[in-house]
Amino acid sequence: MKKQYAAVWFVLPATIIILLLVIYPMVYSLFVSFHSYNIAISQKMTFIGIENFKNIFLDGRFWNSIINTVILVVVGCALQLTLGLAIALLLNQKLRSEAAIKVLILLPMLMAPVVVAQMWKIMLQPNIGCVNYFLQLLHVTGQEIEWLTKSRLAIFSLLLVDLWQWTPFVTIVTLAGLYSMPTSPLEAARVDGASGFQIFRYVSLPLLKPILIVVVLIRSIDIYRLLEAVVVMTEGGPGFSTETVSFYVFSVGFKYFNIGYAAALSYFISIILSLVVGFFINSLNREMRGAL
Amino acid sequence: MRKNRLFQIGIIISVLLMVSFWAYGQDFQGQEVRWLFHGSHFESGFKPWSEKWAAEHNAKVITTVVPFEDLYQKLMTELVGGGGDYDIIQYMYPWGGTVAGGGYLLPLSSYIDVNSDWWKDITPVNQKAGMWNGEIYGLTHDGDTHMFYFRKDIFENEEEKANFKAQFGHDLRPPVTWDEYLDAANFFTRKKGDKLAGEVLTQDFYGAAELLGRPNVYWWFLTRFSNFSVPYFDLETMEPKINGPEGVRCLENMISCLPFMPPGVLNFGWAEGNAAFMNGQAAMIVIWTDTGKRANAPELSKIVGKVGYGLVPGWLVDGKLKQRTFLSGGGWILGVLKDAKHKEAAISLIKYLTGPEVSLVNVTDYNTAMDPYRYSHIKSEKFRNLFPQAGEFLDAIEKNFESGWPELALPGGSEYMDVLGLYVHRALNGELKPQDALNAVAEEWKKITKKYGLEEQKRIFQEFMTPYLPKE
Repeated sequence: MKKQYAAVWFVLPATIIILLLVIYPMVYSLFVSFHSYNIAISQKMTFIGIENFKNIFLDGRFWNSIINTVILVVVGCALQLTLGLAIALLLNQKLRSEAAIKVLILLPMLMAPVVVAQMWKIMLQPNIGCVNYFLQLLHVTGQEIEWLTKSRLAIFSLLLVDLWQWTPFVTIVTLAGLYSMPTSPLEAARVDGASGFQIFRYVSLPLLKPILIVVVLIRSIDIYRLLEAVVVMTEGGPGFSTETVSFYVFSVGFKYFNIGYAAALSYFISIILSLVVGFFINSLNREMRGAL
Repeated sequence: MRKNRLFQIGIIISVLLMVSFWAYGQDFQGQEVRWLFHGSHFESGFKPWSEKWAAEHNAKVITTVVPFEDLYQKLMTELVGGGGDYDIIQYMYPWGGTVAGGGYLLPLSSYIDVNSDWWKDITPVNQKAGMWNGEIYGLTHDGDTHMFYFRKDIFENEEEKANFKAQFGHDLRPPVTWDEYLDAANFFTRKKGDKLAGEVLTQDFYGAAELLGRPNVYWWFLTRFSNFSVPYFDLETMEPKINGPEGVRCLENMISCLPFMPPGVLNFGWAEGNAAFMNGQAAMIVIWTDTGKRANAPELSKIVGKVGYGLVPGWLVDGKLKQRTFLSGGGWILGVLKDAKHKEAAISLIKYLTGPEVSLVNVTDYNTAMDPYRYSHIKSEKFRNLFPQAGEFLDAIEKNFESGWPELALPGGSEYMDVLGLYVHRALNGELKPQDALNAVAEEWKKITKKYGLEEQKRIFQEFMTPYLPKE
């Protein structure tokens, strides 16, 4: 009995902290999501049932931000995974100056996203930015490309910035996976006369799969939360062609101070995201079971 | 005897101290005045003076500086949270409906003598900027209005004049209407290697630059729209009037001007717009008045001595020129919070900073973006001798103030403007036709008005708008 009490006392501080810092805000925001609550006009909270959630389905701007976010997540993850994996395989070849290359590769990840966004905004300026300068110097284009003010290019520019900053993360995690890979299957494949590509396709890649699933999961969640680059580089423009879900919820909450609706949006997105995360976790579990 | 003498010395010291405090003004021994402002181009003007004030009043000034884009969020979070972290806040005129109308600011009328020269020296539009419902809530420290700038050297070039007349059939002059602005923008847009005013261009040159990035693009729509003196809403029904033929004409003009602006203009903010004009890449710009002094600072500008100033262009309607300058932003204002811990000290500090002496130094400093708002600034000999065309510049500012048309300052003002900016941007990006874009704005505005309460918004709007309406 005494032992049981001791256990309760040990767990209690952490439980209180979690309740205060995690559970309470979550429950409170769920409560707010069922209310009309605009703090810009010192409005008292009024219960409106599921009105906020119904409005989500009629909110074209929100659905546009969902489409933009899905594009960024799908294309961004695919590009980062491909490039990150390719670089990791290259670095796994025991190159000269390997340590220096790894440090260089890590640098973008170490920078604050807002600094990266500002830096790229300047580099992508049509007439003074270095990107257009080099493209013109190499005769890739004769024109000043408007990277941030043409709808398709603007979203591509956001992808580019995210690719530059976060591909190193994919590289480093994948490289760790390659280093920790058992050597016997690879050697067995070599003895059986498998080509380099066959070894990669049928041995390395399946062994890396659980790691890659985790990488994709982390990057998907990160890209979904993309905000700094949008605020600094495009402010959601041109039009609302680069408004992401995070940017839109931020605008509703902290520009329009429509806290009730922002809370409802956040919950709605959380549900969608939970489904996506659930899918990834299931895939991971299947892979782990398969590996066992 | 000895005790008596000590007592006398004590009395003398006390009197001397009291006299010196009186001579110095009020003493705020140990008080910490905290304030929040956006720092990009104000900090250099505020910092030395607030330190001087603090030293003179035995007080301490603690500043929190945030980027412009974050100020409104930070401010509102502070106000609605009732945090009590600040005594003084900086706000823009359009936010007056939210911050003053929301009851967050301390009324200042009892601290300011409206019959004094100190108050009368402030130009009427800048007095109004700090007022809400007839009460003074804030003091302007930066007088904002749009103004028209042009490259005098190329507009006065005889060869250019002749070529323009041959091409457009009328004389080249600094545009008085937005249609003339479009013609001039079209005419002066040239490629690298072409000639401009007899000189071979080493970079592409554009007819105009505007700040068309989100979220502030709406200012350049309203700088056209304000000329019509069409109120934002019908005064009786609160039906939006932004999507009428006047609005469509303005948006069509903006779209027509786009090809004659630098690439990337749809992402231009204050820095990019100023850079395009001051680096000699654009013939015209409509922007705030600080550009006038900065364009004449050799360390900042490549067009020193080449700038002309004027009223923002208007529109010809039935052969008559309609011209009202948009008081874009309407000025930056310092207000004291109702729940400020050190109210007296805060009032003393904002009066000091916005007084004629300190403010004159700030508005004549190239490094601050603080603009004239007092008659003593406009008439100042020091300012008029700051650069060769300074007199012409200051006269133009006064004229623009006189015809000023305000930015919307209702509760939720920034929400109305954000929506306007969004749809104007979509039209400029070719996603929507001008009429459709403005219809969408009108629909959104109706929803915002409903959200904030139709009757209350109507009451406030009538009070706010009526003084600016043209007298029939």
